[in-house]
Amino acid sequence: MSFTLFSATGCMRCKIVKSYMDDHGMVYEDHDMKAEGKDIFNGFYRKNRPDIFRGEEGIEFPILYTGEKIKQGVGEILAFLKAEDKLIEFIKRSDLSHGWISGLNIFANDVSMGDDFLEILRYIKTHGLLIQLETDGRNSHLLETIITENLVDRLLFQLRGPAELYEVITGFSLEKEELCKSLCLAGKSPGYQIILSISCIPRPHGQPGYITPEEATSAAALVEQATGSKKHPFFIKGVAPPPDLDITPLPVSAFFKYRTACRPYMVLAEILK
Amino acid sequence: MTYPSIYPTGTTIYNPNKCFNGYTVFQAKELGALVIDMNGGEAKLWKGLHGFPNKVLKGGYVIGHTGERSTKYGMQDLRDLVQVDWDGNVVWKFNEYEYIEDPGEEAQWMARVHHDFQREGNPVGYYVPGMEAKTDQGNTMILGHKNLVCPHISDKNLLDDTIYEITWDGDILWEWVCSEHFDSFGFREDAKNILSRDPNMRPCGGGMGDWMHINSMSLLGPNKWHDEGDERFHPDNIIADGRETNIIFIISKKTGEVVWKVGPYYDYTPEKNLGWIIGQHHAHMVPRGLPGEGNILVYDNGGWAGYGACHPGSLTGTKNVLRDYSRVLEFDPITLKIVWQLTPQEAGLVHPTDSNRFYSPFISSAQRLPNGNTLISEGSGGRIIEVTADHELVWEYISPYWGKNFKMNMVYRAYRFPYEWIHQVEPPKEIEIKPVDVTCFRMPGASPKGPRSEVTIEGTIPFQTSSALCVISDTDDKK
Repeated sequence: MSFTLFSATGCMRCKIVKSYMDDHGMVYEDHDMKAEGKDIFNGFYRKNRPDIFRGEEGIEFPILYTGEKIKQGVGEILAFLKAEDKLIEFIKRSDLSHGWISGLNIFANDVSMGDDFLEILRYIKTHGLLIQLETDGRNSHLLETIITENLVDRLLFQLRGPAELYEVITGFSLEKEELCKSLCLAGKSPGYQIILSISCIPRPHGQPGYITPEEATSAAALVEQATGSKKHPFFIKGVAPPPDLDITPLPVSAFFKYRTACRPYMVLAEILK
Repeated sequence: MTYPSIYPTGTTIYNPNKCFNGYTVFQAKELGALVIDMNGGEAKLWKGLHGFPNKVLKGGYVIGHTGERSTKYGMQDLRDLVQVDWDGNVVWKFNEYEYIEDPGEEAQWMARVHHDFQREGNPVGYYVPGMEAKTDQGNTMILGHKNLVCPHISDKNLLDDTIYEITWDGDILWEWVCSEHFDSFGFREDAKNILSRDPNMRPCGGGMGDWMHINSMSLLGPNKWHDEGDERFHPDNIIADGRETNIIFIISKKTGEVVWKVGPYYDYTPEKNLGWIIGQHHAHMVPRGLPGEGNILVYDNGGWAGYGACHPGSLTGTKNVLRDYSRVLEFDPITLKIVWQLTPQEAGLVHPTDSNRFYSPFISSAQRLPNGNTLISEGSGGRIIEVTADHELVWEYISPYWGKNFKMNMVYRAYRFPYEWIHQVEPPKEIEIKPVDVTCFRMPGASPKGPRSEVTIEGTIPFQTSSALCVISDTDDKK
């Protein structure tokens, strides 16, 4: 496989990718789009414009081209170089910049690639990027390693609902003990937030409906029970219903009831804006 | 502001025939919620009850607070809002807005209420015939605080203003956060610049920027503008004002958007009609049923406020608008024309040389009364007055309560209400107090007015009718 790397002068993420490729003896053509590679990149961009992501701050570099595939951003590229598409569940596009990387999670049901993911995390961390990682309670053993090795700078715990509804909401089964262990670990992570999603879920009889304030209370109570503390940065986030369901999104004012319902157990509960 | 060392307190002027007679409630400094009659008799004291402000409800209830957050960590955060009955029992309470853990203090829920609140049934919190605030049910709108960082304004910790609505049972139903609407207020670049560097930083809690400092919040209630189809004045909409920014604004209850405003600048039309409003308090719409209904009534303090260009009176651009007298303005919210005012001139003072005798650079309030009079708290000096529509001073009261910690007799806000709202006591006697001729008013031991020896100098001419002082005044000969 041949590699073409489009980089930019002064780009820290580009340096990390180049360093990884050099460390692993990978041969590649490097074109600096701010210097001699400008015209080559412009031609490449014109040809592949629909496949190149443009964020608020412009095109994210580096971009790796294999002749067939385009990978963009340090996370996606390192994942690809490490294990082609096998880490795709763990690593998505980052929407953070200025020294941070996001799009990293331990949601995967198949954790056979967990060690490879940890290796990528370590590489990113040792090369100076600040890491935002997401978890939803699964794979507490990975979370434990990550926290023990100080591989995360901001942990977002996506709490999908109360334990008894987790399978209905997510489609995967998760033991309450596993969820509690992950919540407990989360509290030891720097800059963590617990985010309770208020989403539309299937109900046994009748139409799908939103998680109720009572069920939100149960989720908040679980966090207190798991951690022994009422004082976590706890946020309530509305999730838009799938477009195929004819359900009206909850208005902003609806979330105050959820906040009130959660506060007896999570006193710092706030609505995520 | 030019008080002598010795002067009377209590009621000093009272004309029962021209007043809207009733009780007046105010927060006596560091004492409690005090109800006085027209002669200054103290009909009721709810001792220890804080009031920011106190409002009396029909039936002998009062709303206030059980305490204030330590000023080491918060600024003007009252910890709760409580309704107390005549006997001092707390019959309603709300505090669950934010859980606060200050070092060395008991962790507790706090309402973080400040400056204002409104109970359903009455849009403005004072007496309006036929609009009585509910006493055993109903929602309450609360002006609150929240600390946050909003990089769009400044990188400093902000003490932001919020408005929230709660049910009788304490459920929060609605919330509005001021900083989220920063772009609606129309600040010029110089103001944004100084706001980002110094959003009115206060030292408590390690420093926080009280950038807007909203000091009043009320509902519009039913009004003629909305009857005529102007949705900006929907009865549920909320009017508030920001002391630090010189802005009075109305927000849509439905969308949260700022739908009407005056300020922060008054140097172009239409605001030019109003003159520069500075550090104002208690801006509200006169409710339906009262003379002037639909107009905006505001105590325009003067003093120092605003953000903008630097000048010798404001070296950094903070508090860059200055004036050393107050005005009470009533203006039409559509044309922005002043329809009534009490300025030093209407108060009978020579302007501007004596104007600072009507001046409170902070706090203060204005209440329209059913007979067309206006009750005004000229707060910094603890002076509460009632004036008629043609500016006659028919009642004056000076608070005799000075704080031991804060050595002023200031009155944040005062409200007049009818005798029948307190059925627990008999209405008081009303005894006229004619203005004393101060030219003859003497302390014991002081000599009476008049020379013991007098001689007229031949060749002198009469004194000029125009003052022609070192500074120009409104007595100068216009020719």
